[in-house]
This record gives sequence, C-alpha cells and structure tokens, in this order.
Amino acid sequence: MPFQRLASAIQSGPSRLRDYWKADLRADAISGLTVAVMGVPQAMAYALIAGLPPVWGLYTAMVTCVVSAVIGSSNHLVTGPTNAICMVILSLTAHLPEKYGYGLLEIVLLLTFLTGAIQLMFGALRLGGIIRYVSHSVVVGFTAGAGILIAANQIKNLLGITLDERPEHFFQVLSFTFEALPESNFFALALGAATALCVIFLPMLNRHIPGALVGILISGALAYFLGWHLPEMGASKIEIVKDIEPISASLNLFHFPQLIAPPPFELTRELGVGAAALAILGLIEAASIARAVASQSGQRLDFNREFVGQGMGNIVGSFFSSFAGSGSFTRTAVCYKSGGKTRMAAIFSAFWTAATIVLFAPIANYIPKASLAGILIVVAYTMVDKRRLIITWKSSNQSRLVLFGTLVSTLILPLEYAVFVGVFLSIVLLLRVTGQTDLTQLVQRPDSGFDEVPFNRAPQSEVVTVNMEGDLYFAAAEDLDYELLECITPKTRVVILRMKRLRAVGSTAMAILERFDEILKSRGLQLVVCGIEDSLKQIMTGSGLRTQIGEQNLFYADNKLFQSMELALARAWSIVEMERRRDDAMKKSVNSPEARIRISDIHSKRILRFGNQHQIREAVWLISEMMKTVDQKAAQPLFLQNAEGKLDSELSLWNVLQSLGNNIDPQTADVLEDEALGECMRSQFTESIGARARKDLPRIEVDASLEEALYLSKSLKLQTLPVSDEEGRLTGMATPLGMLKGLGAALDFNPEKALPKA
Amino acid sequence: MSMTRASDLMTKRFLRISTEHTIREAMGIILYGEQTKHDTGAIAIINQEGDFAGVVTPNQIVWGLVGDWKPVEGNSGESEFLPFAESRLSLSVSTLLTPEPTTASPQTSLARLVLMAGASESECIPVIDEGRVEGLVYATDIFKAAADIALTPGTEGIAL
Repeated sequence: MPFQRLASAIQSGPSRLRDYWKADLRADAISGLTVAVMGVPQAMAYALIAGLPPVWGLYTAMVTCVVSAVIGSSNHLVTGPTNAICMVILSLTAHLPEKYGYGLLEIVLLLTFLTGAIQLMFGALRLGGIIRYVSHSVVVGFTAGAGILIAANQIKNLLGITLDERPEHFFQVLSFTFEALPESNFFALALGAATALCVIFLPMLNRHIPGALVGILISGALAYFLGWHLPEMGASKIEIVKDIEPISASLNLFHFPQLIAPPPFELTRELGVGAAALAILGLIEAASIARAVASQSGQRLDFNREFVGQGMGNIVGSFFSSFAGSGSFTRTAVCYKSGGKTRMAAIFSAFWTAATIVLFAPIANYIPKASLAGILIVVAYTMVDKRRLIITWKSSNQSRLVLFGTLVSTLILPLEYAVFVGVFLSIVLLLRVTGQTDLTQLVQRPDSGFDEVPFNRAPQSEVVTVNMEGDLYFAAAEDLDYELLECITPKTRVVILRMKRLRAVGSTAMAILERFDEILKSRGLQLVVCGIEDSLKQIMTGSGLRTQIGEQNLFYADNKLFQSMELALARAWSIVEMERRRDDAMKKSVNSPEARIRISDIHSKRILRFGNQHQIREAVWLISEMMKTVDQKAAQPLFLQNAEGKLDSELSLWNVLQSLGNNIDPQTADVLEDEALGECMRSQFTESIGARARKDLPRIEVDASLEEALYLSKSLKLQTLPVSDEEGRLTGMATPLGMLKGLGAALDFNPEKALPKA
Repeated sequence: MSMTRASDLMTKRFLRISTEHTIREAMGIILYGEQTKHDTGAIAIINQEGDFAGVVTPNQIVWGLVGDWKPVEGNSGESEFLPFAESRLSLSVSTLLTPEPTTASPQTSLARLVLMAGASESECIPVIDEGRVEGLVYATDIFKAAADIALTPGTEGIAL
C-alpha cells in the first residue's frame, strides 16, 4: 500500500524517502493542485447547499480530507464536502436553530461528530462488506433526487432572492421561490449565468481549463469592479461570500464543538436518525467511488478500513469547523486522472486549499453567492444521470423500482428517510434476486462438458439433468416443485438433480429432495441426485432420506468426486436400461419384419468418459465408484478423451487389470497375500492410462448397420465399440450384450422358440 | 495376514448347459434368462460326462456368429450376413469354446486372478474343482476386490 510504502520509506531511511521523492512526490503534488483548483470553488458552493458559510466547505476539504486519506484504504479517494451529503445536512439542520435555540454551526458540528461516530462503529464492527448489498440504483436515484433538490434550492441564490419563510420541503421551496420571483436581482442572475456558462463551455474549449475557478474569478472581478457588492446598490446589491461569513487569512480552525459535552438529549435524539442516514449515505458514496477508482487502478480495497477512515475524518473534522463529508466523485476522478499516485495527492490538495485560504482570502471574500449558485445549478444538472435513468427505466422492474422509488422519496420525504428507503428497497431487491433458484437443464455435449439450456429447449430424453443454481430460501422452495416438474416429458424415466451450485440451508434442500422424490415415485420415475454438499449429507443421514432415495442414487460433492455428474449419468442410464429390459421395449421396436437393426437401436448411453491424461490410480478409483452404483457384471470400459474433448482411446477393464498386474511376479502370484498385493498394485498407480488404452478405434455412427459393427468388433477384437454421432462425437457404446440383443432381434428371436426345453 | 481367493469372489448362481445344445439355445438363455438382470450373460458349458468344457459369453456368441464373414465392398450386406448367421445358429455351442480356457481353482489367489483376467480378456473365469465347475469369477469382481485392496484413503479421488 502506498501509504505504508511512504511510512516504511520514512522508517527505512532517507534512501527510500528519496525514492518516493523522485518517483511519486511530484506527481502527487501536481495532482493535488489540480484537485484543489477544481475543489475550492466546489467546496465553497457545497457549503452553500448546506446553508453554511462557504469557508466551512474549505475547512472540510482540508481537515476531513487529510484524516480520511491517511486512515482510509483507497489511494485516490478525495474526501470532503459533497453535494448529496450537503443537501441532507440542510434538510436535517435548517429548522433546528429556531426549535432549540442553539447556533446552526454548533448543531452541524454535533451532527458531524455523531455521523463520524456511527461510521467508525460500522468500520469497527467490520460491516464493510454490507455496502456491497446496496444497489447502485439507490446511489443513482438518490443523487438524481438530491440534484433536483439542489437546483430547486439554488434558484433563489441564483436570482438573489431572500425567502421570507424557510421552506420545509421540496414543493414549498418551489412555491416560495415562485412567489418571490418578482424580487429577482438581475445583477445576481447575470453573474450566476455567466459563471454557469464558464463552467459548461470553458472545459469544452480545453479540458485543462478549470471552468468553475475561472467562472467565479471573472464574475467576482466583474461584480467587484462594477461595485455591485456595495451597500449603495440598495435592493440590487448582490450578496458575496463576505456577507455570509468573512474568510480570514488564518488557519485558526480549531473549535471545540460546544454541544458534544454533554450533548443535549432532545437534540441528539432528533439528530440521531439523520446522523445514521448521513453515515450510511457517506459510506455508500465513499465506498462506491473508491471501488470505481480501484477498479481502474487495480488496488485492493479494505472497506472496513475505509469506513474507519471516513468516521475518523468526520470526528476529527467536527473539532475543526468542518461539516460531514464523504468521497467526492469529481475530485476523486480528477485526482486519479491527473496522475495522483498515492494518498499524498489528497493530502496535497488539502495543503493547496489551505494555501488558497491564506493567500487569497481577501479575493475569495468577494466571490458572489450567485456565482456559486451558478456552479451548483450545473452540478445539479450533472447529478441527474440521464443516461443511467433511461437505461434503468428500460431494464428490469426491480431496479427500476429501487431507482425511481429512491428518487421520488428524496422529493417527498425528509431526505434522511429517502436514504433509508433506498437501502430498504435494495435489500428487498437483493432478497428477491438471490431468493431465486435458477433451473436449467444440462444437455451433455458429446465432446466434453454440458450445455445449459432452458427446459423448453432441451431435447426430450429418458434422462433429464436439472441444474439447480442460486440461493434457495424456504419460501422459494414452495414453488420449486412445480418448476421442477416442467422438466418431465413423456419420455422421461430418470431425473438427475445437480445441487452443486445451489446455496441453501440443508433442511430446505432436504425438504425439496424429499418432496421431489415422492412426486417422481408417484409417477413411476426415478430420482438421482449429484453434487450433494457435506452439510446436506449430514442432515440426510439423520432423516433416513438416504435410504428413501437409495444410496446408489446419491452422488456426493466432495472434491474427490468432481466426476459425480458423470457417475450420476451412468447410473441414470443404467436405470433406463434396466427398465427397458424389464419392459422388453426393444423387442417391440424391432418386431416388425421391415425393421433393420441399426446401432442406434442397441447403443447404450451408460458410458463413462475420462481424460486421457490421468493415472491408473484415478481410473481405478473412478471405475470402482461407478461399480458401487451401477449394478452389473459385464466389464465396462472407460472412454478417454483428449484435451479438446475428442474421443482418444478406450481403456477396457482388462487394460486396467493388466496394468495393476504388471508388477506381480508370476512365480509368487499364488502365495501373494492381500497386503503385499495391494502394495504391488499401488506401485503401478502412476502409470498413465493413455499408455494402456487402445487407440485404434473404429468410427461407428449411430446409423451404422448392425453387421458392420459386429464385423468391426470381431476383426478388431474390440468387445465394446464406441458409438459416435454424425459429427464424430462420442454418444454411447455398443456392448457385447447389446450387439447380441440386436442380433437376436434381427434373427427374429423370441423367448418361446429360443429357450431350450428344461 | 489374509489372502483373497477365487472361492471368495466366485458367483455360484450360474447356468450350465451341455455341449449338445445349439448356439441358438445358448443365445436364447442369455437373452431371456434370469441373469440378464445383471447384465451378465456367461454360461458354463459342460460335456456329456458332466465335466467342464468351457464358458460362453455374449461376446463369444457374437464373434462366433460373425465367424469369418466379411462385408462385400459397396454392399451393406445385411441380407447376406443374416442367413450366414442363421445357418450357424444350429451349430453346437462347443464350436464357440476356446480350446484351452483359462480356469481357476477355488484356492487361486487374487494376484493370480488379476494376471489371468488381464491375459485372457474374458468376461469371466470359471472356477473348477476336480473337473466340476464350482462357480464363475467375473472380471468385474476381480477388479472390485483388487481396487478395494489397492485403494487406500490417501489414494482415492481424482487429482484436478
């Protein structure tokens, strides 16, 4: 971390410090200056949003900025006054001085302290991860709402109007401003409009021109030299910064917040809710901005540390005449884009801001309030993210609800509640999204792996594999039965549930399995489950569900069994074949004399595929796992695939036995005890299966004729033949018994004639 | 110290028919007999004296019926193959038997069975005691027993 880099540089001696000096200091200083040039007018204007003296905005841009930069996690986050936060401060505090008789500034400092304390607590309780759950739509909606409020509130400053009555909410702001329109001061409007035009158009000419700074300098100079700020102007006198509270060229910031010790109970209680809203809003802003920058810079963020940084920034700020701040999007972006390397850039910006106060206080005092309002109108316009609003409006219902719900509540509710509405909405959204379980059908790709397809697009098959994905809450489990049943077609015999990617409490998952198993059984269908996690396995053991479904139909998801899906498929196809045998369906299908037996009539899908790079040990283990669930005596091969998923070779059971027997000395084989035999076979375990497998495989397609397959089997001495589809991808196998059955059907066998008399 | 032997692994439930039976009958038993439930089809064959003569598996019947038949170029040839196969159905099962089949005794060790199965590539090895067939040891059973012994907790699973 660069700060630690700096700290360790200081510790480890001058050479390291010199490294920083050479490498990053210059970049940080320049970046800090850029931030300050943009930030000074912004900070003063934002203070105006909160109804506070502009100089307080500068203080916040210094103290809060430095503390948060030093303690926080992000390298580029610039903390300070922000538009949305200031709007909340105004909404929270504007009416309180009348009510309690304390000064507005003291109330704001108490609020700042409380906000910081709550944020610190969030960080200390390590709630940093929680921020992830607040939807970005909340931020967009809230910012847009705050932008509209700011614009509405600044119209009066732009027009130089003083309202007789303090508006309580958005609509009063509009109506009071409207009533006072006749008193508009056109000098103020001219200055504000000129500043706004500078802010808009100067950066278009050259993006390095700080539009806001030039704007207030030009409009300030204009007002000053024309004498518009002088009392002689009467009603047309424009208000300047000095009239609100003069900025003095000193940095005597320390001011003990009088209301902290002890805090007045009633006031603190009333501020508490607002402070919580401010704290949350501040953290959301800071975290999302820090995250946005980190995604470009590649820094790994520790959100808990960021929370502590924000909290400490505000707590310390409350002792230095600062109001609550947060991460500023514009200044952070400028800091990163102008080449800021470490958090020293933010500290430098504070330094340059301080320098501005000391050097230019006399000038800053003459900045017209209307000019700051002009800046704010432009800021307010940019706060409404039109593109994002349109996209969200067209997107899913849920994020539309969150975004516009938040936006509307900023306009009709006290602003602090709008924050809670947004957070609440995004939690509801989160629960709805994650509460959904995604069901797709897995269709085996003949090369390797599976395609996930929606139920209605999956081809009908005897074996249906359903992939369950997502989170499963109990409520969602209710509907799941019906959804699951949709996978069943008339052809279906076995349903495989893959639960590996399902996040659910064991008891919920168990309830589903139990019910689904019952439903399937009532329809004469079989259930096979794979990807069962340990937690579920334990609960199932206790409940007897393992016996109900049948141990041979369950495949567990311990990491040994990454092939649990393959094994489940082999099991499912063996169930299908067992049933088919019972029904003797084959006989019916080929009984018509015309029927010519094709490979497709006899081929078995109960195949096991395996990579050709594995060792004998793994093949032994896989086959023995399969034998535990597939009840058959016939020796079944493994079909090996290469890295591209193409059929590479066939490893027969005898090939495996040959390998295992390779180190058995024929002389002593008759007296070899099991233990020694085990040792002997294990010494073969590392042999590559590719070395043993047969590579000279014929290419037999599903529509090949039976006798072709028979001939190939005999001439190649290959007992079990791989069967491919038209594109040459493995789909199944023709076993000796399968071929014999085909032959029986072709030769018109029937049990009565063929069976010998006892 | 223990040693797994053929007698531990062999299946005693199996069919035996005599060399007098035809291939057609052997095939009928394999296709419709009880043992199809387990996907096995091996039957032991005994000669007129009641002594062991050999084992017939589905594979042996298939290969036996194919015999030295060859598809004719440019002709899928089912019409030619089926009469050919049909004609062979009435031959005695003894024509399918391997002249000197691999056999085990009840005392045969698992190690020996592993070697036998690997070498014979046969679905099962008959267990003979004093000329009589006592049972059949399937290659799958040999494998299962071998895997049980060879696989230790540390060697299970598949390396990713």
